[in-house]
Amino acid sequence: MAETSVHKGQSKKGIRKFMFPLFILAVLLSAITLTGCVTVPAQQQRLVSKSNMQFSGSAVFSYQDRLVTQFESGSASFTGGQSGDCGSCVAGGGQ
Amino acid sequence: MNRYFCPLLILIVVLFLWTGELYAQEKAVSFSLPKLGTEQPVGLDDFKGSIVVLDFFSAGCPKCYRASWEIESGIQEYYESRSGNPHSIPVRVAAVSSEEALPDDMQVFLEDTELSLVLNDEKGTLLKQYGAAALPYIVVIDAAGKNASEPVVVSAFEEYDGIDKLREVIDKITGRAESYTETAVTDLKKHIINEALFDTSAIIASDVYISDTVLEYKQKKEATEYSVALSYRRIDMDYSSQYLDVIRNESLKENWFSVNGSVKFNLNPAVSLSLDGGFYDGYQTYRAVWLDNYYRHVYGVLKTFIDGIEGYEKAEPWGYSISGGLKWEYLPGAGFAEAGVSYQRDVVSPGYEMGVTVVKLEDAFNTVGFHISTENILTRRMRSLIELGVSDTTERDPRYTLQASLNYAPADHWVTRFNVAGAKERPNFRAKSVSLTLERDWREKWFVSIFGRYYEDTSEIENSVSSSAAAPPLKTYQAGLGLRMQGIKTSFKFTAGPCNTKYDRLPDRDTAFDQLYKDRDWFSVQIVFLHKF
Repeated sequence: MAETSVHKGQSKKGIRKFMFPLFILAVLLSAITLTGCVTVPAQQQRLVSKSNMQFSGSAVFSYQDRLVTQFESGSASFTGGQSGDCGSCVAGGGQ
Repeated sequence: MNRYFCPLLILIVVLFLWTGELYAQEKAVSFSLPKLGTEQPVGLDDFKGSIVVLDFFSAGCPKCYRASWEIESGIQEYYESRSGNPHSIPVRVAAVSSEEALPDDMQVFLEDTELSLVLNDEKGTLLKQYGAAALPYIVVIDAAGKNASEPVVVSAFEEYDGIDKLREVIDKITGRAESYTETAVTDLKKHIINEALFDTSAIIASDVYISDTVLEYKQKKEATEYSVALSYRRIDMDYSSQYLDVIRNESLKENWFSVNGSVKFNLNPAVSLSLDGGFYDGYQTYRAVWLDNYYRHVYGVLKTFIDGIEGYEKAEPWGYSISGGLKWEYLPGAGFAEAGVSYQRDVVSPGYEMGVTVVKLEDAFNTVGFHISTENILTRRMRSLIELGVSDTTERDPRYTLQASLNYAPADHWVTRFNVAGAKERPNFRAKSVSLTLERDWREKWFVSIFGRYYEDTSEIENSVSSSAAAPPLKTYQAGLGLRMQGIKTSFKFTAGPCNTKYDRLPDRDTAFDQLYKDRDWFSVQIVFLHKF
C-alpha cells in the first residue's frame, strides 16, 4: 500500500515536471492557430506597419537594455543568451 | 504516417517556391484614379506605349518610404535620362496612395520621396484588385502594346527588395509579351544596400561602471544579407572583501571583446535561412570579475596559513557560439514563424571550494538551445510576437523561456509596447519580467518615449546555503525616457533612465558577498546611430 502511494507521488511529480513546457507549448499553438485565422487587409495595415510597431532586431528600434543581463540572469535567457558566465553561480555551486 | 511524409514535404517545398510569381504575365487590371489632391483622372490607357510601374504605398508605412523614394529616383528618373529601357520603351512610375492618410503624414511622405505622379486610391480598391496582401506592393505592367497585345502584368513584388530586381524585369520588356524570357538581361551593376551601426550603452552605479560599444556593418545584396559586428565592453569597479581578518580593497578594470558574423539567405520570397557565429574573450559580467577576485583573495590568505596549498588558477574566460534558423513568412508582411538551434561554449571563471584544500568547480559549460517564435498582425492596431525557448547547459536541468510582446497603436501618433517574459529551471530558478513603453510621434521624424520595467527572480541557489556565491533573489525596477529620429537613410536613438536592483537578505547568508550583492541605484544610457548607404 505504501509502495503504491510512493509510485503515485512519483507519477504526479513526473506530470508536474512537464506542466510548464506543456503550458507554454499550448499558449504558442493557440496563438498560431488563432492568429493564422485572421488576415488584416494590406490597406488596413498602416498603423501596424509603423516602425515602432514592429519587432525589429535593430538597436534603433529595440527597447530592451542589453546591459541588464549584467545582474539579471533570467534576462540573459529571454534574449537568447545564457547565464554560463559564472561557474560559481549555478545551482549547487559555491565557494 | 511515413508514407505521407515525403509527399507532404514535396508539396510544402513546391508551395514555397511557387508563391513568388503568382501574378506574372496576367492581363493588367484597368483603372482610372484621380491625381492626388485633384479631380483629374489618370487611367491605364494614358500609359499606352510605355512600361508602367505601379507603386502601391501608404504614407504611414515605413517600408514604403524607402521603396517609393528609390523607385522614383532609380526607375522614373533613371529611365527618363536614358529615353526608356534598352528597347527604347518609355518607363513611367505611378505611385498609388492605397490608404487614407493624415494630411501631415502625406505631406512628409511626398516631401521625402519627391514622387512626381501620385494617384489617390484611399479605399485600396485597385490594390485589392491586384491581389495584394501587404504594402509596399509593386506591379510592373507592359503597356507598350507591340503586336496589338493588351497591357499585361509582367511581375508583381509582394515585398520591395531593392531596385535591381525591378530594373532586371523592366530591361527584359520588349513590348512583345511572348519574348520576355528570351531577352538578354542588361548587365547592370548589382544593387547593394549597406548599413553601418554604432551602438553604445552604459550602466553606472556608485561603485560599478560598465560600458558596451558595438560597431556593425551589414550588406544586403540580392537575396543574401551579411553582417559583421565587433563589440567592446569595459568593466570598472571598486572591489572590497574580507576573509578572516584580511581586508582587501582594489579598483578592478576588465576588457571584454567579441566578434560576430551572420549570413542570411532568402531561399524564396517566403523563406529565409540564417547562420550566425561569434567568439568572445574576457569576463562577461562584473559579478564574474568580482567573484574571481574574491577567490584569488581567499587563496592568497590561505596560502599564508597552509604551506603548499594549490588548486587556484588564474581565470581566462572565453567562449564561442554558433546558431542557425529558418524564418517562414506565411502571410506576406503580416505573419512570420521562426525556428532556430544554437550551441554555445563558455569557458568561465570557476567557483572554488576553499578550506584545507582548494577544489576547483566546473570551468566550462556547453549550452544547446532551441527556440521557436511567431509574429502576427492581430488587428489593424495590434501586432504580437511570441517566443518559446529551451536550453540545456552542462550539469543543469533544461531552462524554459516564454516571451510575449504586444504592440498596440491606440491612436495615429501613439504606440504602446507591452512585454512579459518568464523563465524556469529546475530545481528552484524562476524569473519573470514585465515592461511597458509608450511612444509618440513628434515633429515628423522624431519620436519620444517613456518606459518602465519590473523584473524578479528566485535566485540560482539550490538550497540557499549560506556559503554559496550564487545571487540571492533579485528585484529590478527600471524607468526611462527615449528620443528617436528616423530618416530614410539615417536613424538615431537616445535613451536614459534610472534602474534599481534590490536583493533579498537571507538571514543565514555569508556576509562575504555583501558588497557584490548589495542594492544599487544604477543609471542607464544608450546612444545608437544607423546609416544606410
